[in-house]
Amino acid sequence: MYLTPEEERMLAGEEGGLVREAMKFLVKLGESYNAERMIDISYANVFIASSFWGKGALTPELIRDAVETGVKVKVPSTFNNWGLGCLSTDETVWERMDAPVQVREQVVRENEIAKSMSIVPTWTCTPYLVCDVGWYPKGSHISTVESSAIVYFNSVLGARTNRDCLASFFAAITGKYPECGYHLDENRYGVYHIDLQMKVEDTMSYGLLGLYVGKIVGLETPVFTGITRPRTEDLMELSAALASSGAVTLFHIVGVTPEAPDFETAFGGREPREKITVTQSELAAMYNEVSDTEGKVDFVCLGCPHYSIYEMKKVSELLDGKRVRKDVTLWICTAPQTAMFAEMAGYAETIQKAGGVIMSGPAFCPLFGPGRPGPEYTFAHPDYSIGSFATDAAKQAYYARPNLRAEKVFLGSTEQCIEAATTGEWRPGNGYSPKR
Amino acid sequence: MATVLKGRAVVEGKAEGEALVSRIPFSFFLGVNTDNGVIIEEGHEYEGETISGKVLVYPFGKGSSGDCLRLWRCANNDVAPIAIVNTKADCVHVQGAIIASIPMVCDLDRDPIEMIKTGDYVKVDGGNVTVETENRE
Repeated sequence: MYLTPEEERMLAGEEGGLVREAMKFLVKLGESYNAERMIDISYANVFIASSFWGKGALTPELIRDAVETGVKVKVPSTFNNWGLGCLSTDETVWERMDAPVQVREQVVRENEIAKSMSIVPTWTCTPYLVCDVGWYPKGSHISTVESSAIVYFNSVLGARTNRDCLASFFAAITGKYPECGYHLDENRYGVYHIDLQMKVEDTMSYGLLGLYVGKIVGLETPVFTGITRPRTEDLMELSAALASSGAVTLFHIVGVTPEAPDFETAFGGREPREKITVTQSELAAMYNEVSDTEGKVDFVCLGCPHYSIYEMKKVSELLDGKRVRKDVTLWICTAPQTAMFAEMAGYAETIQKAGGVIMSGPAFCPLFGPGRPGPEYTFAHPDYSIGSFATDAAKQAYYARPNLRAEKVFLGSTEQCIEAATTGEWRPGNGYSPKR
Repeated sequence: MATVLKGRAVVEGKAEGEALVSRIPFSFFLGVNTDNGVIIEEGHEYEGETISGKVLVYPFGKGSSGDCLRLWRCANNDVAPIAIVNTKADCVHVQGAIIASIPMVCDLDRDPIEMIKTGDYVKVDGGNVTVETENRE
């Protein structure tokens, strides 16, 4: 792999141990994919993931040394934590979450590291909603974590990133990434043609579509036809679901997304490997696979990926004048920046008055849920269950049984979820019907 | 009898041991307790079995980008697989294998999911995967 003199210097350790290890890792990654050289990136969204440091390239000592010697990221960078599950600056939320002391310490530690290294502490899985996306015009090389954000950046914003994890932190530190995978034109064309023979109008249909298609295409790129006017939230939901049941990095929607002005361009002139027709019956079957049909509800969680401000508004309108049942918990998960916005707009007050809890502050990830993380997190403890669980996110429904040990899982519209929060019941009539 | 599959070493290295073959895409986040390496994905063919010390064979990684960290934690807890054989490699799992120094192979000349059975003794050496099949029932 060819390295520039600047990259060689980083590899030789001239900028310190962390930069050296970062470059070493990126070179290894490049070799894994037979990359010929490094490219300059313009943005990174990273995990600091301090609870995972151990053997290997990232040790607490290396980070401490980097902080002490003033190592900064070389490109605009944002961060989220991975694997905390419960963080807030609000002490009462900490108590509700039953968060152990080491988790709180981790929040403080990571915020300090971020500040020291000039990483913007966004604490969200949806940085594209709260940061200036004008930084990444079409074709920009970036490196981002968060499976849903990866798909969104690639597909909707036309930036270029692989499915990254630690590589993003190392890319931020060096400003470099090996030229491979989805950074190359030839790997960005569609493989499967997904032809929708139904109108998708409601957000839940996009989630179910994502789960269904992710299972079929795995890590290949699907190209959708038959989708005309998706909203931001629909595309977030689709992105998240495609990377739950599958490992999708990029999708195209013909006539909608930036790299798919027409069918031929989306496929780079090649023939699709397969055409898959999707109708309401496939999505209904997918629904039945992830959702139970009726029963009592203990826990309602919204905002996976983190809710947009318009979703916050919608929930506040649905909850206006209502009351969440005493024995039901309602969490609405969002970025801290969106939570502030919701407060200014008055949505937060309405939600809280009704008994809803806005979970933000640093990086609340609804996939982890509350309670007794112990040495690891909720899902690692077989005796813990969140009870019966309702959500409006297909991704979360998909993960709820193994990760939250939910007794029953209900997937529904935001309206159905709010109704469940106020009544404590999931009505048998909820089911799946593709209406907004 | 031994069969040799030839592929691409994503992470160079040598390891040998018993294979555990997941026929479905694998997720460390969805499906592994990183304290003991036990598969916890509901309905997984090998739910309750451990990946610790195995040559883990699966089509590709799926799901969360945190899978890399979970694999790393398995390694830090000494319950990681000793090698990974994929049909195609997902970038997140590659990053986990790099940080945890776990030999990883993909793009083999034949589909490893078809060629390797759980319980087979498998040797990974760079891009070569040797499957001992004489003890198969």
